Amino acid sequence: MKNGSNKATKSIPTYCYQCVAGPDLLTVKVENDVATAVEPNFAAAEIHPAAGTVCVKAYGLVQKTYNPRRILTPMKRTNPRKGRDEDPGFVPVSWDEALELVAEKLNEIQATGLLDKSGYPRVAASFGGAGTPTAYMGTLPAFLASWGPIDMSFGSGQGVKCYHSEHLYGELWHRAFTVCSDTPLTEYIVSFGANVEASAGVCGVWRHAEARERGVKRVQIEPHLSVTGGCSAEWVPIRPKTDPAFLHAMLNVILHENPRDALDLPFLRIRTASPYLVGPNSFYLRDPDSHKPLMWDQRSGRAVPFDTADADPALEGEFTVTGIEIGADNETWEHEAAKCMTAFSKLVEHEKQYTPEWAAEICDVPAETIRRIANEFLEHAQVGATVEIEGRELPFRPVAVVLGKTVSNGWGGYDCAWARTLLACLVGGLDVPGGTLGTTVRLNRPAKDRHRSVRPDPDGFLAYPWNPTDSEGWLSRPTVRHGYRTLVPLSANSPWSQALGPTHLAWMQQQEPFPHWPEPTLPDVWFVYRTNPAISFWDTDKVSEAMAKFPFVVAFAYTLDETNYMADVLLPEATDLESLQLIRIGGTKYIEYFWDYQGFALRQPVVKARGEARDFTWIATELARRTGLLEKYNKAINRGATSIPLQGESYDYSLDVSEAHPAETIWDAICRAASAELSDGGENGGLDWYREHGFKVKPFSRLKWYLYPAIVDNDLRFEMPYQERLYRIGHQLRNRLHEQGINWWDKQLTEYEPLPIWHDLPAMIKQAIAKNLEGADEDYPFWLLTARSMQYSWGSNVGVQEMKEVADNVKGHKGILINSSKATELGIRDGDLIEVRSALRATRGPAVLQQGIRPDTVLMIGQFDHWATPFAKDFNVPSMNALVPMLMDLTDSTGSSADIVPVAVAPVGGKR
Amino acid sequence: MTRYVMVVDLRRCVGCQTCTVACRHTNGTPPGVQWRSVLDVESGEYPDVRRTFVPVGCQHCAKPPCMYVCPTTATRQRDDGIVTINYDYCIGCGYCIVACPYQARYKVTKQRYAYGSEPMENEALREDPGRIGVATKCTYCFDRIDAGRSQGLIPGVDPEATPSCVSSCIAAALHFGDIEDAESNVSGLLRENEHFRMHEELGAEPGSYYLWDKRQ
Amino acid sequence: MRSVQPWHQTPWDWRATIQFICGGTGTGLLFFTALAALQEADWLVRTGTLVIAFVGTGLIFVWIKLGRRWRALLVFLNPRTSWMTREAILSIPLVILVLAAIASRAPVIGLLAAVSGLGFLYAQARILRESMGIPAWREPLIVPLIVFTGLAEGAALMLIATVFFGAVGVWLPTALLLLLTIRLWLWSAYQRKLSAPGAAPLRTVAALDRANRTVIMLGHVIPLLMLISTIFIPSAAVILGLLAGLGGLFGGWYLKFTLLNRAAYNQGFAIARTPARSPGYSGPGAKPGWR
Repeated sequence: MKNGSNKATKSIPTYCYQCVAGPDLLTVKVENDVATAVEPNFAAAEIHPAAGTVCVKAYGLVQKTYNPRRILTPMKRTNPRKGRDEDPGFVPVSWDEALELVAEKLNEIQATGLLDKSGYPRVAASFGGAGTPTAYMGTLPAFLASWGPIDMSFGSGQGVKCYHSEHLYGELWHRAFTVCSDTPLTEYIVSFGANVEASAGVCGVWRHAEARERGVKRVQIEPHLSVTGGCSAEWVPIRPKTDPAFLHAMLNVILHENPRDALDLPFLRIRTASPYLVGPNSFYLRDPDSHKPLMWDQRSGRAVPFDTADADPALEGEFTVTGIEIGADNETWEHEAAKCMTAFSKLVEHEKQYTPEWAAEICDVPAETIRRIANEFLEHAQVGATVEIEGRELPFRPVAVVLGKTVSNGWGGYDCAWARTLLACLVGGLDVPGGTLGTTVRLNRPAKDRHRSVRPDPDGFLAYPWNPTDSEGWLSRPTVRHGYRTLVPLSANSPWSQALGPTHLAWMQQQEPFPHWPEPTLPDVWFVYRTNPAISFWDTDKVSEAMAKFPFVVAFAYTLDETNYMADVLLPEATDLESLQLIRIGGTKYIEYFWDYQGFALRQPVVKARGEARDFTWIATELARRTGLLEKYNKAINRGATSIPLQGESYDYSLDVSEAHPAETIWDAICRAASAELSDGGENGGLDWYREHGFKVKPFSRLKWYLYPAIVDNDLRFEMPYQERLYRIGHQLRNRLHEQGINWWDKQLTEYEPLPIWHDLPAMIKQAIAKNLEGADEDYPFWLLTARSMQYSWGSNVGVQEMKEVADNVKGHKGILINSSKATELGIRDGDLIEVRSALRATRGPAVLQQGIRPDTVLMIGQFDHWATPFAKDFNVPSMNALVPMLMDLTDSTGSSADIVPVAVAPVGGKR
Repeated sequence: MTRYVMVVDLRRCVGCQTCTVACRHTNGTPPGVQWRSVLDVESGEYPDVRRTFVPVGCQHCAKPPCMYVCPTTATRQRDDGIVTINYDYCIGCGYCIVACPYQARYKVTKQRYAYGSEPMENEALREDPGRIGVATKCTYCFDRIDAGRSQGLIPGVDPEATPSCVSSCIAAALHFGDIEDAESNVSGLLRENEHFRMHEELGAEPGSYYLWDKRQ
Repeated sequence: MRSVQPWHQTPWDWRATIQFICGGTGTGLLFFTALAALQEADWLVRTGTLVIAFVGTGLIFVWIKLGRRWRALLVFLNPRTSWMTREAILSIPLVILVLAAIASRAPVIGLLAAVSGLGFLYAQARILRESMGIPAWREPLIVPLIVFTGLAEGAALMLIATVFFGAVGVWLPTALLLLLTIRLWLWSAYQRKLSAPGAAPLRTVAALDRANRTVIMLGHVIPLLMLISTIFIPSAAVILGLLAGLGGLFGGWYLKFTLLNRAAYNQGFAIARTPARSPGYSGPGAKPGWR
């Protein structure tokens, strides 16, 4: 055996943030200046929730570095025609020529104006991986900040591949950009397709493994037995997209089949809006003077404002009350002796219709199963129990409900997110130890401290940074192509909001303009990094056609791919193991990323960048310099565009704004600022310190895992069960849009219901297809779904041979999953080539027979179907993305749609 | 005496294949050769279906069929139970491969690379002509164990002295240690949990113990 | 992808099959050559050279399938437990004695060669028997099956040889008749045993099943009928004997081809219990590809 130990061998610490569930820490073994192996960072074992391990994706980084198919010099396009059938004719150019080409375009834009005739930014940019590219793009954010308006509305998967409704409603209700169980403490998890074992990273996998051994019971409700389903105590094969019915039935069982005192009544009275009185027009009844919502005080026998001290609010009942209602656009109704129910009573009445027997038909799940799960949830909740966390007594509710991607996205997402949050509230288990937790904020601010984002709303709820819908504040003219601020009040206006808007609208308009909406211009310059919308979005053929029309596309390129095939300039950036960046780690972040520490980690070149690949910070600085933005760019860095301000109360490592600094200088200053931030100015370890040690952390209070303490400290209520604010905003939005003549968003406006009503979602999807495309309902008897692949999700690693090899050990990576019995019925054997056809188009792949999938469902894991990406184009594995149409009718009010489409399945003979 | 064994907690494994690829990195195995891998096993019939992820590899049997059949004594057993292959002795007859009831052994007859016929830099550096045409399999990373022990580290406890699949596992599903030591981690796990060994009826006395529930 | 189902072994490909065919037929033929030589020493030359050709071809094929051919001599290092080493050791007296018998035309040396040939044949059978990873091979009945098919092939080839070199007496067709009967019985017993639940992977059972008709009819029933017919149609004895010999030979070769290249699925994997994903929720085990 060859042994490298006698050669110059080093172990270099760095991080992996290829997926949203990170970042995590690793070391790379370097022998004779060649990276040979990835290992966990054992030095982080004590501070990392998964003992310093990294997942399978991180191991692909060595091959990613040395992949012979990499683009290693800047390239420019020589074929002016663009399209899948047009060879781009890329030829190598010098960095100077490539950057001049880009700078020239940018300078032209600066000369003519940053906005075009439609008012849209002339520069657009798309970054994939759910925000992870920022951990790889060095100081590019500072360049983008120095530039001015940029259209980031051309999505690459957002809204259909993310947890869209969860992001938006989660932030609204409990500062929960993503939601998970408090896995270390919980005892019962009802999971609607949340595929944590594939998508929650090492922290999630570790925590759930611990929980399973400890004794958690997780019930996985999903049409296909995913990896997570396999690791669950029970699998309930529900009919696709009927999860809201199941959740309604759970609410019904809890509210109508259990004694009321099984619920956490004090929590409901004090920490939710359950006692608020609802007026005849469906708005809260309010105090005429203070406009505060009223509740019925049992002590005084009259209605009092919600914040009246010593009140004993009635949870249930109908009361005769005097007050006002304030509707949309300040429309006010004055009531004398109006009969008003509490919000809770409204809920009880609303849920009465949704019995388990009713849901059984819809979900294809026995009523007894639904009833048992609801009761198990309630029994495990331990209502009344408490636990001490760091000296503070908090409620202990070891039950949680979590939602998967397709459950959370599109129509029904609102219902599910609402029911999930409500179930937690009924047992007092929202954002308390053991319960259903939010993780982080991206729409609310500040992003790095969830507790500090807690601010009161006049009605006693968490304040929310809505996009205004009142006459004065509403943004009638969209600032970017998908018009998130105009159409989606919930998407707020943080740096993340563009990515959380209705991103497919930007693409849809390129085919057909929307009435009464600005002309859908093309961006003069489109930057693309670490994303491949031509593969990862939906209706990918249409997306490809649209991007082929873009006049000037700049792609930061690793290999050729289906998106940069349409590019004009390819800029090879130094990849994960070749470049420099410091990022925040720890605290609480997406999915299941909960640490007892927080701090910073360095990504550093473990080997010299190959070929002409350049560090992203160098590229960003060059772009700034060549576009005359150097001073603004440096100022942005100083301000903290890289997430760490260089000046604090007790330190100042600001850069000279007039100079173009080498990447090392910039990151050294950032490292020093980070050290100072962690130590309140006491330490100033710079780049060299981080190069050696890799990371630096300080303790992070576990109390910050839970929002409940901040809710109590601010004496706030969770906005449950009744959605008066949403109802009002929906009305106002309708008024605004109709004033503008826009009625193509009307269907979306129907979703603004104060209590979600079950809509037959499978039928809705089929009707939308039938209305917009050809084919009758019965032509498409199967549902096509997808599932995440741990080996690939978010990774931009489809060209890595090692990932393909090991992913193939997991069922589904080599073809289309179909129920074994159903396949036999259709004459399909394992490995046979089958055609899957939607109303949009057809695709083919080998059948993979599995018992663990519903007979009416087929599934294509991940998203492959590559035709340009080297290595991946030979997979011959189909993707559902080409089959899913972009339709307004499939778009919900948050601007998302679900990964689901009705299809026909037929054997085509032979093996692929 | 020492006998190193692997304890696999089936309750914890999620089939992520981190161990599979960590092994590749540590041992420089070529594409297609997976000394360790995780099987995705489905059982039952719809809707009563289970999915189990089963890490497999050389079981370092106490009575290794591969060793008995080896005509050259290339396959041997160390005093600590680790079954080794001396690549300089192996003639590549393949007998051990058909003798192993755990499908743990590989033989490649020409060097394979991830991308076509040319090695990448990392592959070129680690290429080992001595492994061509001979049987190879999991070594329990004995070089890590030996190096670690010489520094006073404990295999199965200190990650540097532990097989890389175990120390890379993101679910702590893989455990390694000395079964002869009643106080060891693995002995404790076997005391506390129900377990089985694969194909135990074949009598090879495999060294991988699969945990499936708490001992009642 | 690592298959969960048993897959067919690959290291012992067609070259190994040729080795097993040549070794078995060669040593079987040697046995009958030695017997015939008791009647007429010339048989040691006539078919003895054929024996060398067979045994030699077999050894060449086992050599070319080695991953490291130039280390082949290391094969002798493990006589303590390896039947492959033992086979290799036995091949030395075998080759020497056959050559000596040819050179000396001494029936006694022929008999000694035949004994070492039987040893070699037995070692071949044991090689398969000790292949713990292949359920179709580790079945104990494989030992008599391989030994008797070798002898049957030898008798069959000898009978064919008599067509060209002259008859040796009725004992040879009688021996072939007996050996084919025993082989048929062994094959049936072997196949029945592996077809029992839990005895072999389903694909092994299916492969044996697919081969069964051919093995039984072409390899046994028809040759046996022809041998019996020679009693009633003495005039056609030569041609019937030739056809019976060809059938018996083909039957043995096809049987070995089936055993090595069609039915040799490996053990696969099994779990005795599926894990409790919550304490107390474990389930029955699974053995993919097995009944």
